Amino acid sequence: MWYLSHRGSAKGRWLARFTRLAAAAILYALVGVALVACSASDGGEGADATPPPGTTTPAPAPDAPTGATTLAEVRARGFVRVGVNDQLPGFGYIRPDGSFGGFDVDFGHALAAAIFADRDAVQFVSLSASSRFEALRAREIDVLIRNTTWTLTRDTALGLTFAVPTFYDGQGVMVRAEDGIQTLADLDGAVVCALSGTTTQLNQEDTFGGTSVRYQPLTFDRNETLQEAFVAGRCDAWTADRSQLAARREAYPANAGGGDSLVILPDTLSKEPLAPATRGDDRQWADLVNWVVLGMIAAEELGVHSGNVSELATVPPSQEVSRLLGSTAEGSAFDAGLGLAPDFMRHVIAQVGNYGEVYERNITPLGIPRAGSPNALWTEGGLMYAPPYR
Amino acid sequence: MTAIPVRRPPLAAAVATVRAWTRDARVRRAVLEALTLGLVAAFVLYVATRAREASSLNFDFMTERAGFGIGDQFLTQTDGGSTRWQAYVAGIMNTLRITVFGILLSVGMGLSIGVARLSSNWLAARLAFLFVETIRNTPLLVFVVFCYTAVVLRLPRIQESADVFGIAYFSNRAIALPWLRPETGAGTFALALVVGAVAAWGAWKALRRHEVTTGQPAYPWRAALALFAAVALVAFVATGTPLRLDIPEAGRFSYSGGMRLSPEFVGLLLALSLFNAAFVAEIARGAIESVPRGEREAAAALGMSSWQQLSLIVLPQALRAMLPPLATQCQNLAKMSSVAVVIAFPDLMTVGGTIINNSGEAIPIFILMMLTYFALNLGIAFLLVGPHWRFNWSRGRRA
Repeated sequence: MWYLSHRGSAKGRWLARFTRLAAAAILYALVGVALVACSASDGGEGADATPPPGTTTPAPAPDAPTGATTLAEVRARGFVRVGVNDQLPGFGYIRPDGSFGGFDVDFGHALAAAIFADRDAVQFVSLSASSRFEALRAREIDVLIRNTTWTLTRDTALGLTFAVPTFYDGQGVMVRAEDGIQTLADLDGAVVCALSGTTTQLNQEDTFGGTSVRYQPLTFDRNETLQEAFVAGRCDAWTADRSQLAARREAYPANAGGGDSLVILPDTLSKEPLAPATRGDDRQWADLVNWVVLGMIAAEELGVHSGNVSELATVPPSQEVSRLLGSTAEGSAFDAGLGLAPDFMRHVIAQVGNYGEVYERNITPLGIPRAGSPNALWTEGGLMYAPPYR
Repeated sequence: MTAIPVRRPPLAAAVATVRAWTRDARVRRAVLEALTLGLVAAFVLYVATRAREASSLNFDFMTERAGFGIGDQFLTQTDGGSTRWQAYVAGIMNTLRITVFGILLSVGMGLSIGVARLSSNWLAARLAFLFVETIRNTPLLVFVVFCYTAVVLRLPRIQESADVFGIAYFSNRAIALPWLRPETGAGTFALALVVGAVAAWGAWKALRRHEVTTGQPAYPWRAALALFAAVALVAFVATGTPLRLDIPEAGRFSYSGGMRLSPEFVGLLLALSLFNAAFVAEIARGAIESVPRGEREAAAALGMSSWQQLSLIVLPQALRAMLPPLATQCQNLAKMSSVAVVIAFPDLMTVGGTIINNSGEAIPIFILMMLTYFALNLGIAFLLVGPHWRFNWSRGRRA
């Protein structure tokens, strides 16, 4: 008990102060060690491209159980969590009664129907463009179906896996008809408004960067503020995916001139294949999402729709239809190997419909024609093509 | 300790020692301190490791091409071909611009409103009270969006811009004002201005000393200003009139020439300075009320005018009480400027968000943004409550 003799003395006070100082020094040293450890392993990874065995790769969340567990997780939970847009009419929006509706939302319903035979076993999570990938990585949602463009770096650097595109879009430019802007070249000096957190800004720069057209970018975080600024005349042009522009034009306030006062220019600034995205560490789940979408395309091609699916399932007209709907007509049902019931596509078609029905229900009312566009079936000159279901 | 040692079995002795320790305040404190320290260290280590696992914490991606343009820039020239660092610096410059002008405006307005609240004029006091209460009970985010959409965007369209005698224009595309553009010789002229200012300061000091020592009025302010004006005028002519009046012209999509303020900047500046002025007003009121009433009564007894009482006796003392909370409020303003993101003003938060979206590197950017705001706030604290500055100021005032 060496310190007792110093209690109250000058030496004791000095000791107390020294103890505090030492404590503070140890704390800073620990923080320093942590940071140095971080930067040290940093340099190691930068030096050789492949991380040494034993270190974790940065992409997946560290506590995420690796392997095919999303489906098990979803089954245990009893419903699918789907990240969607909540303010894009036609694709993902909230109906007056509070439920979610739209093209992307219907694919969420299709997933629920495939897994649980119940289109309502799904929870929709509204996400902003800038928070969507973090939400997927943090396992807040199982799949992201939110008018998301499939790009190379999103596939690699963001660690995502994309399913087949549900909608082939392209970036367009919308202007006021009265301004007399005909082509992109007329936009020299104009203020071009866009939403942040999207590929639109990058495409815009790619398109105009090399030309003599000098535009002034203005990037908003929210659609409402952007529309307010556009209506007030702050922007000359509004750039976004053409599908979004069509939806926005449809919903343009009547007191500002209505949709007829706006023109979408014929020029296209980019390719925007919109596709559902899943985490890159779960191939089984990615396959499932992919083949539900492909199944809906295949169903349309085979003439299977919500009106005739129960009839065709009992008396399949062909082997292909029989395999697609998992009919047991020939003794044993075709097992797709996705970890689902053999007749999962039957529930999807009966409860949600085939690709064409979903398009008709959501996109056609926006005034985006399907015929002649990349979104038509391949048999009609489009890009919608499902590999064989066997 | 007793002089005669008591023999105890070793176990009992150990128990007794432990019991003595648990009752010793020093040991208890040391254990608690060690526990706290351990918990803090474990937490920091945990956070650092998790951050390290989720991201490489490598800033190489910042040297890549930005790929996006920034509309409103202050002293920077960034375009899509610049690196992400350059885009980020453009964001920092915008944050600095909004912070500096916001602090100047909000402190100026806040001081006047705070004084007005204490005024004996019923109307002034009531209006100041209404202003402060309205603002203090409104969320900043709502107020910023309101100032932008309901005030600034309601300015006329560019085709119908309001012009002031053909030299300044107001529209929701920009507010364009005439401006002085520096031309060749501007550097020499600026140098001459600095020399003139130093000379004027020296003259002020000398005349002031003369005034204090002899008691004869020497008009130090008038003389100093006249000296400065004379130096400036002579230098302006001598360097060949290096400043050109730049008057804006209205074009189809925007204005050319002059100084153009974007609606986003004006809206944010308006919102931030009004919002913070309400808080500065409260700080000023509290500080003024903290000066004992007797001080003012004594000043009145000496025959000072109402303005002299305020400016020579009350405000100098109030200002010293005001400085620390005022500095905090100015730091708040700097941090609040990050709401720029909702009205499309490209501050460092907006630019940082775009970089995150393009690169997917959320954690490094957030660390960078926190460090930037941290440095900015330290700078404000240093400027406003730096001990050196306050010391000199109070001594100078007493002289």
